[in-house]
Amino acid sequence: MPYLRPDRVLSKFSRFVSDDVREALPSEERFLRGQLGSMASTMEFLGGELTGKAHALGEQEAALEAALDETAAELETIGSELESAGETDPDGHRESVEMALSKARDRISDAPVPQSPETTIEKEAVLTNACENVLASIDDLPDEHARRLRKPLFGFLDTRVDGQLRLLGREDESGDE
Amino acid sequence: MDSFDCSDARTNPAMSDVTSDGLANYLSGRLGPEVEIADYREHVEGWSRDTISVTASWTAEGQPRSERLVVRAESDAQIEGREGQGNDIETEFRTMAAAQDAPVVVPETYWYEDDPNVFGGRFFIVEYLDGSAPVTWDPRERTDLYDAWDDPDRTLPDQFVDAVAGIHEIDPTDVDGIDDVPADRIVDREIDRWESVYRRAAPVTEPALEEALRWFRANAPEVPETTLVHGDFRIGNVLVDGDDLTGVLDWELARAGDPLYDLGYASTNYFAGKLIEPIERPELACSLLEREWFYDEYESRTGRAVDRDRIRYWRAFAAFVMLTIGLDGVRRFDEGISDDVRSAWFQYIVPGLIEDILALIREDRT
Repeated sequence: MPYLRPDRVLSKFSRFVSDDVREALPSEERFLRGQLGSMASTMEFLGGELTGKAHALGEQEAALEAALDETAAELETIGSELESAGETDPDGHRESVEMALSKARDRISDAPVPQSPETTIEKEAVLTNACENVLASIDDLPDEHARRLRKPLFGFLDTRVDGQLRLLGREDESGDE
Repeated sequence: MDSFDCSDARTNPAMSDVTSDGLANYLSGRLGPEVEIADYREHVEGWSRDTISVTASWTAEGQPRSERLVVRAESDAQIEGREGQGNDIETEFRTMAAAQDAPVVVPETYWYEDDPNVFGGRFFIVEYLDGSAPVTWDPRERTDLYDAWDDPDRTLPDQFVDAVAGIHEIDPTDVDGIDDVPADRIVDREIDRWESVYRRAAPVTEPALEEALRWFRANAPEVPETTLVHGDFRIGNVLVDGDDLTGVLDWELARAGDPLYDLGYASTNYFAGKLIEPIERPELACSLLEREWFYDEYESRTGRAVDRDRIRYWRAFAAFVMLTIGLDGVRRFDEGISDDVRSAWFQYIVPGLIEDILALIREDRT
């Protein structure tokens, strides 16, 4: 117990609400019909979320870890370039980025294993907050360097939003113009 | 959720207390000594106001007269002060009244009533216009809009450009309740306003949207002039009857602003009908008109240069505004302020809008 897959139950409820309950209402009951349409659609989306959330979260974690590694490597490259040019980090901005990267890695490794709705939400928040803290620290750098460091993290942002759209049922991988 | 009395649409608790008898009383003396009300219809597609249309019949100078009217009333949530991203209802009415003299099709404005003892909240009455507002999230209605663009006459796209050009002939200082904001303050005002709503509404940290906010601040365009902007200009807020645009509706978000805001807003993929999957004709703004044609025609009709970077800015910003409004609805549902199921559903518009924002800002951030 429970024996029924919750996503399938939600899908059946969704179809019942849409095809039977809503259709039984007279057409002039537009407000109620609208509410039922939204309810049916929401149940369908919730079902997708139930089945796909763990996988999507795993993808996000892998993408963020890869992005953090790339950003760290790029930061090191920038540091070497500046050293070669005789420049230092007087405002400490590069050091701030290093610290943000280090904290991000620590928080991800300390994050709970997603085994329940609560720990799943908590894990997701760790990932998004870690990414945001690194992005915020990058913003103080000169534009040319900031762009290079952001690029891998934008890859994480893409992975996250692509995963969300697939949870909602998108099949086509390509986006719009 | 409260049970609804489905047997009488006029007592649907989703709508205000505007009743046929009450309207007959209110209009008697205004239209004629005795007014009869028939064909009462609720328009539940909207989100904010309660909107009802009726046919009023009376005798004037011995002749029978009748006219279809629209009543826009504050919703229960607005009466209780629980809602409102837009202007108050009196400002909405005054905006429509100011638009009467502009080259834009707008319902004729009749009465504004601020006495809450009539129907429980403030309301106004305007002319009913024929037509319906296209729903671009319906693939069948998108096809009709594609046909309008593919038609060599391009009547509806043409009138769409005329409508927004006409709106921008309205001086915001002519509208009571619309703040006059200098052009060099417009962008900051917009960011401050919508960021504060977002911060209150956002249930989680979305790094993509934090990046967007940093981009908005760092790339704020110079705005050379302000006009009245509609604030919610899209094909879903105009009435279409056959090939004709018969009226511009929903003026609640009107304000002083950069006229290109309205063009950018109408250019979002979301208002073309994109939700989860890409749409069939993504090159068409509002699924109705190619963007470059739209901007070129607007330029030639108004004499205003349409800076494409400024359009891109407002297009990204409009996507942010839309998802912020959606998230605010989600918050109200989550906190029990609203039990409107549509508010819960609106969380699902966010990823598609984030995708569009990232596509627009990426070239400046990476």
